[in-house]
Amino acid sequence: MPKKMVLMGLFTDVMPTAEALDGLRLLGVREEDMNIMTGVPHSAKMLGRPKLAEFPWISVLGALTGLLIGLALTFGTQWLYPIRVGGRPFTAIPTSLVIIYECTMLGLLVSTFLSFLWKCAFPSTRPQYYDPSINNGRIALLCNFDMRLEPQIRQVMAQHGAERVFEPQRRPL
Amino acid sequence: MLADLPKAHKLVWPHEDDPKERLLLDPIPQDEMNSRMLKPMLKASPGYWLTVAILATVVAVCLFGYWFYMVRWGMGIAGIRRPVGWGMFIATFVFWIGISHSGTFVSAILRVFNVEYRRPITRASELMTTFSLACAGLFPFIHLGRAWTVYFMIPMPNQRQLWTNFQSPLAWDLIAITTYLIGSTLYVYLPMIPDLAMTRDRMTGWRRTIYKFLSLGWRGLEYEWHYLHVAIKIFAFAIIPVMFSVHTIVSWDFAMSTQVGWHSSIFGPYFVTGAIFSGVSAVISVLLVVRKTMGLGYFLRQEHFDALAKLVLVFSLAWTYFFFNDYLVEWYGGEWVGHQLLTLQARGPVAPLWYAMLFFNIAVPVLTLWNKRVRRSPIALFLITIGINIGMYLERYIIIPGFLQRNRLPFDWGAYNPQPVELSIAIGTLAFFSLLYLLASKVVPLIPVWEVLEGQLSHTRRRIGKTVVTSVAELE
Repeated sequence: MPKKMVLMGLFTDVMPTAEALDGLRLLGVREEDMNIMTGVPHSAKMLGRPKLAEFPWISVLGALTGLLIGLALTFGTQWLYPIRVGGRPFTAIPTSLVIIYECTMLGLLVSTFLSFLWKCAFPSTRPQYYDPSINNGRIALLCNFDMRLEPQIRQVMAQHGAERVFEPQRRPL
Repeated sequence: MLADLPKAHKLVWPHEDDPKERLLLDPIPQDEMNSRMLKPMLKASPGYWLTVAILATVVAVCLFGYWFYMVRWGMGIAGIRRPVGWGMFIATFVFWIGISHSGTFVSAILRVFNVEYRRPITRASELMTTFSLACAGLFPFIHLGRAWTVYFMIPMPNQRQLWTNFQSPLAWDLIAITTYLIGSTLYVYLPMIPDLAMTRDRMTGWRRTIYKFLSLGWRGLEYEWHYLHVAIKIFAFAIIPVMFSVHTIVSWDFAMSTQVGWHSSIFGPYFVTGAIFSGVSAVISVLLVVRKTMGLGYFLRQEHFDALAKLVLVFSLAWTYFFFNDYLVEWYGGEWVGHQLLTLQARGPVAPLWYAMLFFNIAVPVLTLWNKRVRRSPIALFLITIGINIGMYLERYIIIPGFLQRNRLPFDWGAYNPQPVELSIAIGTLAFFSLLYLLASKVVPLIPVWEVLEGQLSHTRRRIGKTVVTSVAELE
């Protein structure tokens, strides 16, 4: 198994970064082994990268859980302690809808937040590859590749105007 | 032909906009932008600490001190008694719920519609939502008198095997406000994470530890941005109906009763419109103070106040429409008690407040805000928006303890005189809100720097014919 290594290139603009990504692709670096780190969001289209396509299932599940909690609070508690009043419905749908709706929305919002944390593996306290200069307008291109390709990778990054190409160290954030 | 026009017509050359007047067309290096945001966070003048100390004292004495005093001596020291069971506490509660619509409206609705001028003002207004909900959330406890009995509202098995009555608007209110508080707190936090990470990178010592914890390990990776955008989008769409539901449910606390003046099918939209009206006005007042005291003139410009003032004008007209509708239907209906209520407003003890409300909420904004010079004058705008919030507070006061003075049983009519404890607690929550905001201004970057940078990335100038116009690119 060939040994892997990581390089980071710092760029000042989007276009050279996108071109460097193209160059790395030509060297055989897989899409999953490249990553971009920025202080401002750059869309996949701008970088010429494939987009993450996912349906927010966790949010939908959260909303459904909220819905079930709403049903339990309104209809469930009515059945747990039945009070029957003449001329009045035992379980009233219109008034129950308010609670069911609020619980559904709460479930949706909380699960969306939790799914964001889960997908980004937050909170993360482990040392990570990082360069604070991304908050000064730099774009960092992180590349994980077969060690034997190091000279070519360095060359591609430098060729496309990387300000600095270096082997990053994992550091506490 | 222009020569065919009547002589009264005057020809003027179209005014060329100065792109430097607009934040999104006036970029500066990212490093400098970060510094401009962080500088006022790191510096606290003696005046700042003095204000914090004064506000903390007011909160301790007027809010918590008087609240404790009322718990000790009982609700009898408040002015609420038959027939006015809901007084200033509930009016102030509704007022703060109204202010909480500021953040959601400015941030979520403008975000959903891709309104670009929202970018620098979202965070400051979202924080208002969270803090005003914190203030509003105190009032159900205060109004209960014996605050510890609140557990009756919590659905849990108990000795008597009874459950909360979920068919009651008061239980709806509790759940709706809880949903809104949790949702809006998460909504203010989510877009803040990249800015907290930026702050983390520039801090040292204990401050760095705090920001390290708050930024969760954010690095600005592609997938992090992607998931953040997805989450913000879901939040923006979901929080809007929650916002509408919260104030509608607050209005149902009144409208579901048979009290004259309250039992109205228009109360939901009337309350929501009023809430957005007062909320957006409060955003302007707060942003003007923030700009002045924190030196954030680069981010908060005349264009933003101008645009927000136009919104206030629109909502003033919308509120007027609902108010008139509510008034006319009551007047035309001809019910005797309803007429007594209208007389109470027009000529009774409530009259000065009623006319002041009409002056602040209709006359002033409608007569002034159509003028661009007024919309761009910080002092005028500050006075107008403060006036609107005074007017909106009076509206809630008139609707709640005002209307309760008249009912269908004339022998049960009465008057309401707010007592020092009620006035003090209302002032205390104003100080509490200001204190929370003041403290947050030193911890939280009030301007979402990454959103401003993203906006600057999408804005360019392009030539069309003889002129150069602003062009906005869709980055997504």
